[in-house]
Amino acid sequence: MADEPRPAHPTTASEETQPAHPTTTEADEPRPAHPTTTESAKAQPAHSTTTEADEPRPAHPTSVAVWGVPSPVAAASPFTATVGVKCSAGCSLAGRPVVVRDGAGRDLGRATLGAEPAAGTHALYAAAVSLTAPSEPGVHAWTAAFPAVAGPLSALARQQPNPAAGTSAAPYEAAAASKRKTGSEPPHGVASRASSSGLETAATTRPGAPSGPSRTAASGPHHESAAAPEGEPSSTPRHEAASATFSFRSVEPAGNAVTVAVVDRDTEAPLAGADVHLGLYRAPTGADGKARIEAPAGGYDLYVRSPGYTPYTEPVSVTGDATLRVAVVRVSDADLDDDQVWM
Amino acid sequence: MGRSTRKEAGVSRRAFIRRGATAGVGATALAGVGARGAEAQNFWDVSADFVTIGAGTAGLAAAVSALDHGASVIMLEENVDIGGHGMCSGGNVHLGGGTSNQRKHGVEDSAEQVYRDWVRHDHMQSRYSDRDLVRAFADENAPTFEFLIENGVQFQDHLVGPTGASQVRRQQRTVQWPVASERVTHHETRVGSGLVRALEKSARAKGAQVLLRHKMTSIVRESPSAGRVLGVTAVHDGRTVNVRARKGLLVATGGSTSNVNLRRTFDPRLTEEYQVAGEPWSRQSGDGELAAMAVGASLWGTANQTVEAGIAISKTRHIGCQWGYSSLIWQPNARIFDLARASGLTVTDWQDVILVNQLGRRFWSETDARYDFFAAAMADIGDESKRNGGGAIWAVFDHDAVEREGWDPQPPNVDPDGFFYTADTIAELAAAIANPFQAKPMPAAALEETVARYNRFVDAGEDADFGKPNPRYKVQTPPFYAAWSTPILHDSLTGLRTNPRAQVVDIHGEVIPGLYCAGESQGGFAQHGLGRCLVFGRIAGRDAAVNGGNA
Repeated sequence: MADEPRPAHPTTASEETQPAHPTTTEADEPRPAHPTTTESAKAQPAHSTTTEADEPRPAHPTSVAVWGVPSPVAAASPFTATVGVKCSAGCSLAGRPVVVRDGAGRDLGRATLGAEPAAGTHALYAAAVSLTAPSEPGVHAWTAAFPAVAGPLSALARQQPNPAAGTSAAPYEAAAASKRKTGSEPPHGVASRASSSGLETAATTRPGAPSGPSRTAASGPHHESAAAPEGEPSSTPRHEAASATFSFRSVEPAGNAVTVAVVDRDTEAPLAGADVHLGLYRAPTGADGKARIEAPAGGYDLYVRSPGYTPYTEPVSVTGDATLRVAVVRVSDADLDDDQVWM
Repeated sequence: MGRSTRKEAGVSRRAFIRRGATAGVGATALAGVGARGAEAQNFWDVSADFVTIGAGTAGLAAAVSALDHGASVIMLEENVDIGGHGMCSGGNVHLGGGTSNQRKHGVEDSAEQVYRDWVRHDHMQSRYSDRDLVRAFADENAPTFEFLIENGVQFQDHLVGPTGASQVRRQQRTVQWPVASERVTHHETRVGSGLVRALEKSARAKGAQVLLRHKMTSIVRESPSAGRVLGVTAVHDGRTVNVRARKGLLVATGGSTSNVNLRRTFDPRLTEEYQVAGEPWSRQSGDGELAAMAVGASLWGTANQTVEAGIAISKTRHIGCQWGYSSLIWQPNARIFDLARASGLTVTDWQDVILVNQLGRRFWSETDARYDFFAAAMADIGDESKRNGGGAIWAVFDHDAVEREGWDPQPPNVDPDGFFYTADTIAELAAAIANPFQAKPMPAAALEETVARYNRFVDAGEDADFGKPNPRYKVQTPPFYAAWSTPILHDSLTGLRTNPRAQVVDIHGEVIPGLYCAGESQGGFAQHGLGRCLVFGRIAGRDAAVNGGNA
C-alpha cells in the first residue's frame, strides 16, 4: 500500500489562509525556533537584556503514525512496521531515529527516518522498523517513539545504541501529553507548507547524502549556541518527543488452507485485489481472483470487499482445506433510495 | 431560502409595521390592529381569491385545485424558483386507496384500507396521528392520484411497498422532468422535478400568478386573535408587497426543520449543528408556523416529531460535505452547486471509518443506523457550555479506507472549508478541524487514544466499547482524514393544527376563517413524504374556492 501512488493531497482552506512565514525565506537569517514565536519576539522591549541564548526556544511539537503492521502475524516470525514522524512546522526529520518498545519499555527495534516524506503526506518522514512477533499468541500493544534529544548531550546520546534504555516510554508520552495540556501546539495551519516552506528548504538542502545513520548526527536538534554542522543554519529548531501505540495479533500456525475465489456476479470475471477476511485472517485476491488464507478449524465470518462492489458477508465453517466461491455485486447509485427513503 | 435570505427568518409584528410604513402606508393606521391598516386605501398591492405561501408540493396541488374550482390564484415563493423540497426529492408519491396504478399492478386497495393502515396503533408512524385527518387523507387518496395524472404528472411503471404503516403497495415514483434547465439536480434518483414542474405548468396554464422571490413576512388578520385572515405581507427586493386573499390563504411553507429554535420546541436536542436535507436549495424555515401562531394558530400532534420511526433523522451518508443526506447527492452539475460546495464521499461500508464526537471519542457502533445511534450522537458529552445536542460528529479514516471505497478525497467531492480535513498524523488531524459547529478544538491526545484503542479492537476482532460487529479495519495508514458526518434532519412531522378541511385551528380549538395549512407545516399526521402534502394541498385549494374559508 505504502508504495502505491497516492491521490494528490487536498489543500485545505485553512492552509491557504495561513500567511506565509515572514522570516524564514532567507536561510542565513536566524530563524525563529517556532513560527508562532515570531510575534512575541518582536514584542520584546528593545532594552531587554535577555538574549536568545539564555532562553531555550520552544521546541516544535511532533506526532507519530505507525502503519503497515500485518495482523495477524505468525508468532515468533519477523515483520516490519513503518513509523512516521511529523513536525508540526513541517521540518525535515530525515535521519532522525525512531525506536519501537514493548509495554515494559524494552527496545525491540529502531531505524532512521528517510530522506523524503512518505507518499501522499506533507512532511511525514518514515522508516521501516524490523521487528519480531512475540511467541505468545494474542494481541500485543507496542509503542513507536520519536525521542526528544535536548542540548549538547544530544549527539552523544544518539550515538548510544539505546539512549533511553531502561526507561519506559512514559517520559515521551508525558512530554507529548504536556505539550497539549499547555497549549503550546502551534495554531491550526502552522504545519502548512506556506508557513514552513523556508524550514523545509533549509532542511532539504543540507549537504551530504541522506544515507541513514551516518546522517543522524548531523541532523539532530541544535541550540543556537551549539556548533552547527557545516553548511547548516545555526538555528535548526529542536523537536519535542512523541510516540504512538500500535497493536497486532500474533497467532500460532493455522493448519487449513482456505482458498476464496472472488468473481463479479454479472460477468463472472475473477476480481483481483479484493480484500478477503476469514474472521481475523485476511488476504487479498491475486490476479486469478483467488485469496489463500491459512486458518485454524472453526466458524468464521467470511467478508469480501472490492472497490465498487457491495461488501459481501457470510458465516462459514472451516473443517479442513477448502475452496469457496463468492460472487459480488456492483454498487449501484440507484440503490441508495428505493426501500429506505421515500423523499 | 438561499443564504442571502436567512437573516430574514422570523416574523415579528414590529417588522411588519416598519415595512408597512416604508411602503407608504400610514404607520398610525396599521398600529395595533391589522384590519384598520388593511382598510387603508391602497394597502393591498395585489389580490386573488386564493393565495399560497409557498410554491412547493402542497402549494402547487392547492393552486391547481383552487383553479379547478373557479378561484383566482397567486402563489408567493421566497425561492428563485418553484418546487421547494419536492423539486429535489425522489418523487416517491405515497397514494393508494384503489388508484388506477394499483389496479394496473393488481393491487387491491380502498379508502377504508388506507384509513385502517394509517391509524394503526402498532406502528409508530401512525400511532399518534389525528384520526380525523387520516380519514380525510384516506378518502382523498385515490382521487388525488388521479388528479395528478389529469394534470400531467407522469409516473414510472411500477408500484413499490408496502412502506411505512401501509400494508399494501402504494408507492410510485414520478418520471424526471425532461427539460434539464428546469431541474435543480439531474441525479437519476432525483425525479421529483417531474411532479412539481408538471403541477406548475398546469397551474400557470389555468391562470395562476407565481411571484418568485417574494418572502412572506406576516399574515394579516382582522385582529391579532380574532376575525378573518385577510391576506399576507411579503417582501420582494426590499419592497413590501401586500397580497389580499379573498377566499383563503394557505400556509405551505414546507415545515420547520431548518428553524433551530422552532424544531427545539419539539426536541431540545436538535441544536444548530444538525443540517437539513433539501438544503441549500430550500429551507424548512418555520416561517409559516410562526406567522400563523402570531395570529392565534395552534400546533398539533407534536409527539409525532419524536416517535423515532422513519427517517426524520438520518446518518450523513455522503461525508465530508455539509449536506450529505442519504438519497440527495449534490453533483457538480446541480444548479445550486455553488451553494452546496461539495458532493460528499458516499460511504459504502461503515466499517471503513470510525465516528467520533467533537471530543475525539467514539460514541456508538458505526454500523448502526437506528435511533439509538442518533441518541448517542446527541448525548450529553460533559460540556457545560453545551448541554444540548452532541456536537459535531466526524468520520475519521485513513488512506487504506480511501482505497477500499474508491474515494477521491478532494474538491468537488469534499468541502475543505469546514467539513473535511487531512493530516499526516492523527494528532495533527485533530488539531486541523475547525468548523463553526465544533465548539472547541478536538483534543489530539483523545483522538490518538481512540484510534489506538479501536485498532486494538480490530486485532482482537471485538469492539469492547460499542459492540460494532467484527471491526475490520484499522485507522493507521497516512494520510488521515476527518469528514463531517453529523446526523442530518429531514421531516417535519408536526406543525399547525388543522381540521380535516385543512383549515387552521387556533389555540382555543376554533377555526381561523380564511387560513389553511398543508404540507410539512401541517401537524397531526406523521406520514413521510409527498402523499399527505398533495392530499391536503388539494383539499385546501378546493375548500377555499368552494367555501371561501368559512368555518
